[in-house]
Amino acid sequence: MAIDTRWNADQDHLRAAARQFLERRCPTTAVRELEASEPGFDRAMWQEMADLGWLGIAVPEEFGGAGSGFLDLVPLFEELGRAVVPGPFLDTMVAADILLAAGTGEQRADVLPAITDGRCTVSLALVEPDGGIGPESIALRAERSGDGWVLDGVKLLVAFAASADRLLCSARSDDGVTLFLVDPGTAGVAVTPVPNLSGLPLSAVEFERVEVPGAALVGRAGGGWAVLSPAIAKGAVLQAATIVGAAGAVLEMTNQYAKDREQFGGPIGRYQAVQYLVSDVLIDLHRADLLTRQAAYKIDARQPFEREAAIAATFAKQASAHLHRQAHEVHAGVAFMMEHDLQLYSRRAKYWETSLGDARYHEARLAEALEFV
Amino acid sequence: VDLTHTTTPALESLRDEVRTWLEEELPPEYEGFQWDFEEDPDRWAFMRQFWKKQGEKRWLEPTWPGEYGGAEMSPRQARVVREEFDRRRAGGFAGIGMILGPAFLRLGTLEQKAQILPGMAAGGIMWAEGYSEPDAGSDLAALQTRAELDGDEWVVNGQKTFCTAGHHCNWVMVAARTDPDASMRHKGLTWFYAPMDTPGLELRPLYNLADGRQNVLFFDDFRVPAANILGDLNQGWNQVWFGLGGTPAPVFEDHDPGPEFAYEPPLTGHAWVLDQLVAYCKVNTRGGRSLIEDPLVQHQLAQLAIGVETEKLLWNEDCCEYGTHLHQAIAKEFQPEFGQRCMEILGPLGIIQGGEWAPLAGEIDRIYRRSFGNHAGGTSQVKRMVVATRALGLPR
Repeated sequence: MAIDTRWNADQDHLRAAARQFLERRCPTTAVRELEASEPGFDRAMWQEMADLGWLGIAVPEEFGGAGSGFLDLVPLFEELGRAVVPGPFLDTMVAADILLAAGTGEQRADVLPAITDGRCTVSLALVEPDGGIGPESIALRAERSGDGWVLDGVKLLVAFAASADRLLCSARSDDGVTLFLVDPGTAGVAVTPVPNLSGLPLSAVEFERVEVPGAALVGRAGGGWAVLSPAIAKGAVLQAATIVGAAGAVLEMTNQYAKDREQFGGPIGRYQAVQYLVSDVLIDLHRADLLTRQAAYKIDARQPFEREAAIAATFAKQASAHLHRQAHEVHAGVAFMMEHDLQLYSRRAKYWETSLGDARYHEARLAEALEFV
Repeated sequence: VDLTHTTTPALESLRDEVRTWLEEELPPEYEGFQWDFEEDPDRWAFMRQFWKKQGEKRWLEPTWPGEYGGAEMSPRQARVVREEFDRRRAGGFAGIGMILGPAFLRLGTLEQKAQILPGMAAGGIMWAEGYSEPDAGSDLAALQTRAELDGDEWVVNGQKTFCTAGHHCNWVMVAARTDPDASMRHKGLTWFYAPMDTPGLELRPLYNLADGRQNVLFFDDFRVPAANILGDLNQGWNQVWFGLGGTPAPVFEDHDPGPEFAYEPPLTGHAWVLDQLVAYCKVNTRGGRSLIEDPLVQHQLAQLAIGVETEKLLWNEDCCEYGTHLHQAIAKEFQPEFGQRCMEILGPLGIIQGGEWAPLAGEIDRIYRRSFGNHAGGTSQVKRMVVATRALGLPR
């Protein structure tokens, strides 16, 4: 009954360290430069974060990680959101989680230590051309061919695909949903950048009769959704943490602007219409924060988490859309200009709001968890 | 972060005792009583004797010291008692004693505590509020009721309003201006208390939208002994209204050796209503299909579940760095949303209040109406203003 919603000292320490590191290493000027660059994130900084142990927080010690609990990832992802850091952090963490749950010994030994020490990034190839990631959308074909498989189809909005060391791809075989870990250099894989709002390099990845070895199969053929669904849920909780962290920065920016900007002879923050907009950001942030902590706790404590994760993800994604709209209202014309930092957040948020499932996707999971159907 | 509720064998045996007692003392037809939204004389009469019996068990104020009628329970023991009363939807004790009890414990003199607290814990003292005025609602510090010292008595004159269930209560707490300089605002206010049968008090009923009766109180030379001031002269705003100062009441420990094991607390409040509504949607059809299969109904229910979950976590959080007003703003904005979404799910049947055609025996209609009366202690707009100006530091 020791109910406690607060972070412990170690988690506070990790947050402080991450904030200090990212303020120095990834100010918004750097974020802007990375948006215009290849591969869209800072490989050197990635390596520094690996050296700090941050890429292996949830990876077991036998693969070089810290073997910490899921909760410890939350402060890190909040700080990554707060600094709008570009990079395949979440994709790689979700892939590591999937390999831990279902990967072969060889896949784990091959990939997990490389993720932990910074040598390997993984991009998730989940979004089908119909925009869905659920089992009813998964259409990329996988057919057995000798000892291996042939993959044929298209995945969209794959983040950092051009620089990825591996792709984790959902497919449909005769057995049902099936997962593969694919080397993007395999013949027949074509990566084409998709112009998009987020500022991240998001690509269409076309698989044209791509032959992969049997060792590329992750888990059981036909058993993919049972692995992917909880991994998406856990990843969405970290995405929610990213949103919470970013919301903290947006709140500070918006609150400060409401105090500094003067119109009609005084600061605009003296008007209740403006105060409502600013406090909306705080309320969205606070609610998403609490729901995210609860979901992360359930995962960390190895309790059933489907319901809590779906609630956190659904709310955080809805809240993200709302709070960025309110923040733009307060800033009005000034944040419509590319020189203002708010648009870095609001553009990126539009990706966060739909990656690893949009609010509708997670609300449908919530309906399942609440046994509506 | 730790969000697993745990219990112990000792706590569970307390739970069994409370549960057994409730089975004997609370027939199902008296469940769901809400003192601020009921006028049925039979239900009031039942609840009055129920509260007295609850007081005899020392379960009205279980965390209070024994000398004041409490059971010296630890917070988690008291939580078990609360959970079981809530599980049975036993009506909470009428009046504003929930707020005033801790204030007396903190600010009262020894004489005042001995005078008041045992009566409260026994279910004999039921508190009416004399706070809001016609021109001082959310802006309570604008109140105009005056108290002037005459010998060893204060003489109160003025008008109060929205005194919920005041005609059922026997003591009244009244906030009055004791510094005649109105520009002193909240610095010139004092909290007085007296029995309601003191000469000079007249009640006029105000019936509300949710079947409750509130009252206008007319104070006409209402004489209060000088000893009946809660806190200090002119300090009521900070001491009583904002809960500052005084000596905090002791918190008792249970020295429970355990072992601890996890349990799920009962569904209460909105969570209970939502549970009922989901069950209703599963067994009722519209247009030939189950309501629960309607994607829009699923959406509404999911959004309700998210709001209910937030309420629970705010409760678990207790108080956050932004202060209690943030919690209050969120809760006060959710109440009408909850009622409205429930109404949308039920459609035209939602307004049926009773009888064989009423969904959930009229519960949604009741909760919808009650959601319009959630302004005690300040409207959600006032809470937002406080959040904006205090927590966020925006200009006033």
